[in-house]
Amino acid sequence: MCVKQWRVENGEVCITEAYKVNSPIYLLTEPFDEEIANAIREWLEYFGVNNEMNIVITDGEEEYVALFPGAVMTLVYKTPKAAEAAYKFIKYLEDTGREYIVNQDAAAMLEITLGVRALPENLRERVEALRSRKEAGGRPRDVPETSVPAPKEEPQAGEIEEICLMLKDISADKLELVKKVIGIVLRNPELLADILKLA
Amino acid sequence: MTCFEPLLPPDVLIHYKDFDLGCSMIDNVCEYIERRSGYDAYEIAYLYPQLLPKFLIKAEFCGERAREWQRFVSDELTPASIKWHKRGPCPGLAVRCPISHRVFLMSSKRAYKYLRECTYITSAARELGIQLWRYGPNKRVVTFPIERPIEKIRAILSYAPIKLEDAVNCGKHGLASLIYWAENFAVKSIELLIDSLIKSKFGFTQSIENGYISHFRNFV
Repeated sequence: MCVKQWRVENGEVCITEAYKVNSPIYLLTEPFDEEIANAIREWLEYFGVNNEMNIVITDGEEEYVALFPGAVMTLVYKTPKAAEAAYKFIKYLEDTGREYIVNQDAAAMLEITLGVRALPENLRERVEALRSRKEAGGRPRDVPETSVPAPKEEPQAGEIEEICLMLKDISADKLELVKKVIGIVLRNPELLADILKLA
Repeated sequence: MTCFEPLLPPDVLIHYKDFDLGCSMIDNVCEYIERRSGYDAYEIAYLYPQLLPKFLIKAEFCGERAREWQRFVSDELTPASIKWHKRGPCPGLAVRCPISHRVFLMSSKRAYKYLRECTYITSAARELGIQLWRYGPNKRVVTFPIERPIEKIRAILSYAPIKLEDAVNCGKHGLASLIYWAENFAVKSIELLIDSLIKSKFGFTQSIENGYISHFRNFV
């Protein structure tokens, strides 16, 4: 039962007391403190609401929720594009320097379902190559995706293959990693020569 | 609403070695993940296994494994793993590491609570520059789904090796399961369950490596 109800650009808003969650929820924020309260309060201004409220963004199927500690009232934003609206809310939090109160699991899930976070191609083949190399008796010397330590020993054949595989799959978010890999290659002339041979 | 009736526990989703075979034994859970995420279930399971429960949030489970799957979806799994049988004396393994491969089936926040207790993993990760979590303002911990966790664990184990048999002989069951998973892209308990399921259904022990896998695509 709405205490107050009105239409907005992409749907309608209902302010209600004691909102009952009908379907499984995705929590958009971490259960923190005043910072969440401030963030939600600011975001609510978009709807012309100044009171402290929980937020539910829903398309009738999914419910994305941001909880305002201690709030009694709930603003229910009904929109057919609930995932997009929830993602916008998360982006708003990040853009205003509040990334740390965002539930990063929910953010990643939204990015994947909305296609914002692209997944690499040929993943299965790459993993299979990694696995079969291990099974062939190769020592499992792996180069992590996010960071690469400076080599302390001579490079192994497996390392060279792995670097080549990684270089085939460069995207903007892997730039730092690529820089580190190139750093390693440049510090090691033999490794560079081997890579050039493979290329 | 369809009720899925998986024959294997949720660990099957990170049993990459025989992923398709595993999928064929968990009703249509993999297909459901694909519908919800828009991606191949293997890709999600390999890149972000911690997000899998989120894609299953509306799914219902029944059958003998229902409780385990419900616990998985509601983020209540524990790192408990199979009990490994000792094969020799413990050489002395002074590591405290109350985790197993199962932490990567938990939400990032919950996984952090276990991972931070495993100083063996966390200190090696720090030295390698691998981020398992980060810090926000006021040193608040920001957790996030770890991308390709198996590759990160493999990198850590390459850097700071622990032999599987040492972990087993020293009674570190969770750590042994983690090491086995990282080394073999396989969950030991799932291997055993798949073996016993096939044995009970067909009366012989499976041999996936010998090319039988395609015969079991429509197992259920």
